[in-house]
Amino acid sequence: MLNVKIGEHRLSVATGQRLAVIGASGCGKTQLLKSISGLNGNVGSVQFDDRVWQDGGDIFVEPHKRNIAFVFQHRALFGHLDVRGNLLFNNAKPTHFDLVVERLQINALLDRCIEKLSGGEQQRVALARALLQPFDLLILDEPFQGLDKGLKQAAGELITNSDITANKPIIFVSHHHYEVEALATDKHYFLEPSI
Amino acid sequence: MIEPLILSLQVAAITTVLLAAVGIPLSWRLANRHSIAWRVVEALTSLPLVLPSTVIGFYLLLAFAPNSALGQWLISTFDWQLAFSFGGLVIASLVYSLPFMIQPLVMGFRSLDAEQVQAASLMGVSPRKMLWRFAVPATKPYLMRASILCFVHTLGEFGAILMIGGNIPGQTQTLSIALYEKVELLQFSEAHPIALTLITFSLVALLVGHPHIREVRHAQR
Repeated sequence: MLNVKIGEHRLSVATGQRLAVIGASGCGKTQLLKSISGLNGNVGSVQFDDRVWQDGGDIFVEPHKRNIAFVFQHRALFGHLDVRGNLLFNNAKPTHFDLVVERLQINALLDRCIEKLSGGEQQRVALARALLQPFDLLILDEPFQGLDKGLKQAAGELITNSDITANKPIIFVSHHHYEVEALATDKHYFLEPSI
Repeated sequence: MIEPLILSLQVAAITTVLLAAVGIPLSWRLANRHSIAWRVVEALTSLPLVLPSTVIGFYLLLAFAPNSALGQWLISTFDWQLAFSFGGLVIASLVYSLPFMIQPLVMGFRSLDAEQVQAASLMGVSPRKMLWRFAVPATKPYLMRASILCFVHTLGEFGAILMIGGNIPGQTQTLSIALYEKVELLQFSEAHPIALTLITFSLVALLVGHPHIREVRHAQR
């Protein structure tokens, strides 16, 4: 169970629940996700199960100790590593490697360098890299950008219907209705543009 | 000419390795800390760029002279006399070439994509491990460039090592000092090979080092 109070935002995600954060671009969705992850310092309060991650005061669990898998809007793939290097970064023996690589159709890309990939290919690698990390909370910032319909479906199924995410809370940002559907989100949080 | 060449290469290699060991963690801090104190440290590390190398040599000579406090302590504790010795050359080179290691590295670390650093941290890399686990591998071409600049710059060093090392054949007479001696003695035919060797080494090193910086690319956004 994740409980978040940051600024005017109040949201909670239960075990196994999928929360869609919805709002027009520029209304702070990405910053909200980063704040939850501890990437914006000790702001507001974030609690995960019985652990306080940050309270705006003395308590702050550093991001690397939170066990969060995060797909960045701009992907943030490591340009100095090839695809395989990205997938195995700090995580030499991921449990579901074959499954994820096959479903996201990355097999043929494993030895390519990041900069030679198309936008859609990079997006699949970013998704795979996050899903291969051991995590307690999955955060996806526009995870289906550049994917065609078939791949969106495959990715959506991998996220909603596999051992990888079993019982783990997921937060998911989108302004595309289709993506919200593909992930069979069970809860929505609407962000209004601030100011 | 062989003896001064070997000596020059030894000083340059040792200086480069030591400066990389010190320069990588120092540059990482310089790139990430923004206090006034760190700005002062950064300015200090750049000082050898603008100072005449004789100034550096002069103060190092005073500091390490056998009759100075530091010089006496080094001699009585380690039996190590730095003035007019190989060790003195290395110390002078460390100071003199410091900015050539630091500046490319700081530039490299500052060019890192902030979101990639955040991604690495969410993937379990602690701030303490970020430098070696992520930042150094991601900026390897800058380290390559820094090392090459540092190496050739040390190879071409003159003023500081003349001040602290003097001109002792086989001990402190490097290529640049041997060249100075040949010219003073008007032995131009012997000066040319030395000068050409220095030019060749530097040119080759710059050619080898240059293209690497262009390999620095970040993942397409």
